[in-house]
Amino acid sequence: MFKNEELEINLGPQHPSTHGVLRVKLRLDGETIVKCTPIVGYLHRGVEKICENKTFFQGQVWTDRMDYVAAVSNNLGWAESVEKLFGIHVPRRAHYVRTMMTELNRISSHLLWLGTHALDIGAMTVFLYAFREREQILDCFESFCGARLTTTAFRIGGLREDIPPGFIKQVQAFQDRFLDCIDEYETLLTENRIWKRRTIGIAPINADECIAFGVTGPVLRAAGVKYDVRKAFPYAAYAEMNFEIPTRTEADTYARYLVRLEEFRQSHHIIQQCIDGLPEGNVMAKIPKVLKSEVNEIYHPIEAPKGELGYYLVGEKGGQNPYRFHVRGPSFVNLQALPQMTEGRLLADVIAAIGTLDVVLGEVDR
Amino acid sequence: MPITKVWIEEGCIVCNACEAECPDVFHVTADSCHIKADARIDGQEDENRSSKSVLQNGLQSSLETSIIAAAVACPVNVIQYEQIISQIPIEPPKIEVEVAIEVITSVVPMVAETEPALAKVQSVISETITSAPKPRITEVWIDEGCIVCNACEAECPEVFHVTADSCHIKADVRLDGKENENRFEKSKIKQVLGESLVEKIISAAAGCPVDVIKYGVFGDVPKIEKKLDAVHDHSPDAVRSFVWDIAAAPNRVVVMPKTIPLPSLRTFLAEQEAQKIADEAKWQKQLADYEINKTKALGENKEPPKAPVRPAPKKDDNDMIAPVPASADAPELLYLREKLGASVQEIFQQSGELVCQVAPEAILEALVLCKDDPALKFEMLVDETATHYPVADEFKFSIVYHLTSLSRQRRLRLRILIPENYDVESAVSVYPGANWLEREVFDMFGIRFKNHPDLRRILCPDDWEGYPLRKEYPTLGLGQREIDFREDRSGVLMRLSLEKAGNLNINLKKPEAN
Amino acid sequence: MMTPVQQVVMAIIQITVLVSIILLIVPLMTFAERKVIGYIQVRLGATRQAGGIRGFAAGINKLSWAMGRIPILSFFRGLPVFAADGLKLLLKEDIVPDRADRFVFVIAPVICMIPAFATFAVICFYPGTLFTFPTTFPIIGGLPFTGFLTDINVGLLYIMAVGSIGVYGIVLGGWASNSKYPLLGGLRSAAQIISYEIPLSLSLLVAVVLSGTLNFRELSLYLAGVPMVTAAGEIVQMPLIAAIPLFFGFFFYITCGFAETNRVPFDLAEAETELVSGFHTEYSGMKFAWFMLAEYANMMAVSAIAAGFFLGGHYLLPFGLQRFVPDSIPFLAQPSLLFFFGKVFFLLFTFLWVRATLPRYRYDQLMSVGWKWLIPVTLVNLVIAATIRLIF
Repeated sequence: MFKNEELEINLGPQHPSTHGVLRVKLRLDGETIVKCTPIVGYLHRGVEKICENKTFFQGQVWTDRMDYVAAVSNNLGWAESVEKLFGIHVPRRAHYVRTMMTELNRISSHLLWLGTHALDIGAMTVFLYAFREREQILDCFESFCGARLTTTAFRIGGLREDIPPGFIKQVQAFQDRFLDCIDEYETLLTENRIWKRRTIGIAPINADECIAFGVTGPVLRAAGVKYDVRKAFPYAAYAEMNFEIPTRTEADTYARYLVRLEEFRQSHHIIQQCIDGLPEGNVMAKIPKVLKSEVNEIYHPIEAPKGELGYYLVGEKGGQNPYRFHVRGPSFVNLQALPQMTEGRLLADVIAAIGTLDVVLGEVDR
Repeated sequence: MPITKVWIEEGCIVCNACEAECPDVFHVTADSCHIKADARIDGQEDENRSSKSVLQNGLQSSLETSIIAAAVACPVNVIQYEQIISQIPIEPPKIEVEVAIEVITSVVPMVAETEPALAKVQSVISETITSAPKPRITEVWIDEGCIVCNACEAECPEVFHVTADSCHIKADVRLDGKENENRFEKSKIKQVLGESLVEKIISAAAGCPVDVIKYGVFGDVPKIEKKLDAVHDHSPDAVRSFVWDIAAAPNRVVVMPKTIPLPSLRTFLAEQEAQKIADEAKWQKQLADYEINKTKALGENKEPPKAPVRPAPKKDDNDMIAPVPASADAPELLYLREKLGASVQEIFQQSGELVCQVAPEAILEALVLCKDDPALKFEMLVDETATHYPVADEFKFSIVYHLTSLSRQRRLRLRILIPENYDVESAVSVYPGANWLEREVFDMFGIRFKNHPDLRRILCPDDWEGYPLRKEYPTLGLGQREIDFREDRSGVLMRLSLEKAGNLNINLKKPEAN
Repeated sequence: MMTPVQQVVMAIIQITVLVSIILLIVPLMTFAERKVIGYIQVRLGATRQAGGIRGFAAGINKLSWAMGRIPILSFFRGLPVFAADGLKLLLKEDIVPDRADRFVFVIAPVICMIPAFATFAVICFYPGTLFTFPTTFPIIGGLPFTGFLTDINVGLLYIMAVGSIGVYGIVLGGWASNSKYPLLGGLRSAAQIISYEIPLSLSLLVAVVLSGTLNFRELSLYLAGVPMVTAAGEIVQMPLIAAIPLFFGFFFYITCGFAETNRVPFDLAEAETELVSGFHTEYSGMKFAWFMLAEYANMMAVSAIAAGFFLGGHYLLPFGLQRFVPDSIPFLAQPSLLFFFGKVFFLLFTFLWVRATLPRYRYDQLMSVGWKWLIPVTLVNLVIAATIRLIF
């Protein structure tokens, strides 16, 4: 008379909390998830193929469009990989400005994550508080390079222009109030009983599984692995910076929340060091107008807000564009762990898991 | 139409766009763009602005499209050219008529349509030879149920005209001069056209997805099998036997690479050695020339020429030191070679990265070793991807595995070289994270992995044709449904892209006949 | 005594007035929701559809902007947005999904809305006559206009009975949509509302046990702590110690009230980040508006009941503390419509306040809160109340 049937439900591609066009095919038994299959590719634009047909200078513009939330990090990755491919030596001042911009971008990316993640779980006010600060950072970007979202902030060999007058003051104004803002978010969430119930023990993935799946970034650090590309393989000016890698051992959503909040503070600290120790000098290396590469292949990782962002470039002899360009997007690799984190749990946990993984579909699909 | 002259007006911004489009003609220097010496009759190399020298004869028509593309691509529009606009139709040679008919009737009809020359041949045939009764289509009409799919108009624009709600038989081809479905009138079509358009109408009828195109025949018309729907064959064999059919797309232009940029210490050393020998030979020749000249000059009592100076290496004030491959001294690489023995094909370091190339059969062994050996302990596979080398003979792809040791903070690149249709052992059993990365490689290159749990396309749709990151995959046209270049006022880009797309049986709008 | 004709005419007038008040307050609530949440979230909320602010007011506004403050007048900009909302919903295309159960789909919002409005039939806004019609009026001349529609002696029973019908609308709406997200939303809602009916009733029973009546007016008067004349003619007054179960009962009741009205943090039935829009995903136009009306009317009913039973009803002080206000004080010692509506509006504000502050519970956590926590404590509270009733 009664039969048990599993309900198949499509979370996305159009859904309020899949942050873009992620589609998750769920098999539900009641509200329990039996099987979870992420389906991606709805935003595939073929950035890799496009960049293979663009010169090294033109390719940078496309990197903005991948992880559009952290465009500056993507720019940095591209600029540094091409510099590595050609062996370009970048001035120290440019490194400092790049570091400062990238850390500002890390904060803005984490702010967007915090806002949307809290909104997914139902706390709607944090979103607007987070956007208030993000707006200030985007204003800084605007005065630095004229764009707010797709910045194309750096050039191969350094920076196109030195920082504008008043920029340091503007960043300092943000720096001065941001620590208080973090406390404000914490009052809303950290000790909130409902927030804790919704995040503690939710979507766990332990260190071994993280490493097996190649998961990097705050998710890996929340599982207790002290791995950060900035420390392990320093690039830009990170070797000269003094900062900590925040880790937790609980490996759940709450731990990731705390890790990212601590990363706010560390980024704040790094930016302050960049402002205080900004060296004088040139911001652009001397490079030819037309870059023609030698035969070489490089893989250059940087620590994007979501995890390890790697660019794989193959250069052709005399080639003006990369022979092969590949992006190792942290969102793409991290998203693989979603079934591991959610199967056997409840529907509402999928939302928390997607939020805590912090995927950006522009980067997953490229 | 051949292009006779090309020159660069003032205002070049040295953007390299033209050289990217047409490297045979343009050469971008540090401050301007030159028309190459070997493309010009006068043999000079400059902007050609004042001299307006004529292009080499052989290049005039062959480089037409790329020069126009370069001119269009120029952001400041300084590339100017002169083009002969010929009004004289090409007379088809009479002798080849029989052959042409052979081509039309026996070979794939699609090819015949795309060739405007052949179409002209067809019309010439129909006009000249009218005495003998030929097989022909007597009437065409559209039954009820047209889904307005445009397929027939794409096949045979002379007869069919698709409107908003139905498909009409054009007035020009009909004897009664009306334009409608011809469903009730069943008006005959003009005899000449009925003969010349036999193939097209039949293939249009065969191509109709709902089979509403009906026609009456006279004589022995050729039969065309109904085309299969564009359903992708999912069987593994179908995927394996994928060969990019360049012959099927004669008009498509794909810029294929000419070199094999595979970084390798061995090749690098060999190249350097060859360079050294060539330099030495040149120097010896210079010396010998000098000696000859000196003796000659002495004999003629002239002043002896200057002694040659060995050219010093070019001085470069850029902040650039191109990284070169160096022999391996990292303990990991030496350890790997010691452990794996003959399966290690090459080890070297470049740009501070460790590269170990192993035999493709030994990749799983190497990965297990890298992960589990306490001296290596590369716990994480961060990236796996492939590169296509269509020019190489012994192999077609390289697959690279980027490994990271979190505990020792070291990185390693494992590389294998595989030929076409080689099934690589999947890394999923060692590193579960390779799952999606290998799916992506399969999706983009068509490389299949043995023992992969779920080898499906990941970024492209399941029914996508072709593998986009192969070098022969065109960047323009393929799979593109509608082209809307807002800036393309002259229509050049549209025409070029259509030509590049070729005829791959894709639903593209056909270029209008001139 | 009123004649039947007079009774009917009187009832019609009272119902009209009552329904108009509800229909006025509900849209104003949507406006207030925008503004209050906007204020909490450091933004302006709705500011359009207001025209410009001119003259003196504009000057004050400019001055406050110059001083770096959000001008108070700006809060009233965008006021006509509720009218625009209503108009939009009226004119919007009314879509019934393919293969939906058409009849149930149409009837569900009605089932949801009617009980929400019917609840107000027994709610006493003022325990007496508000004014008397002048004798010049035809038919009803000289009759009193009371602050309540009916004064039946099973008022509370009626409220609980009618209130539980509303869930049918949600379940049927979710089921009839023939869509997966509404189905999940409807099922969640059914389980949730049925679970929370129990602690809700238990916390209301505290009031019944203490006062010994089910009549809304008598209940509110008794629980306000003022001396009351019963039908039997004796004077009763609530013992002071009864304020303790009443105090806790209020918080239990308001918690359950949040769950009953599907508001944050218990808005699982329409959790937009999980179930798109829950049970009303497929609804549009006027049918959707009815769900909205029902939700806000329910909020108002819950607020009115909480205000009437626990917060001292028509008197100033809550939890039976009114006895400490001497009768000699002219305004504060008397029951007033103002006090009642003040409390109702404060509770409505609390709904919005909580919405802007708290995250959402997960489904199983919600159930465990209801069954493992709320039911035991409301039972204990009831036992305390009964003990107090027995002893004092």
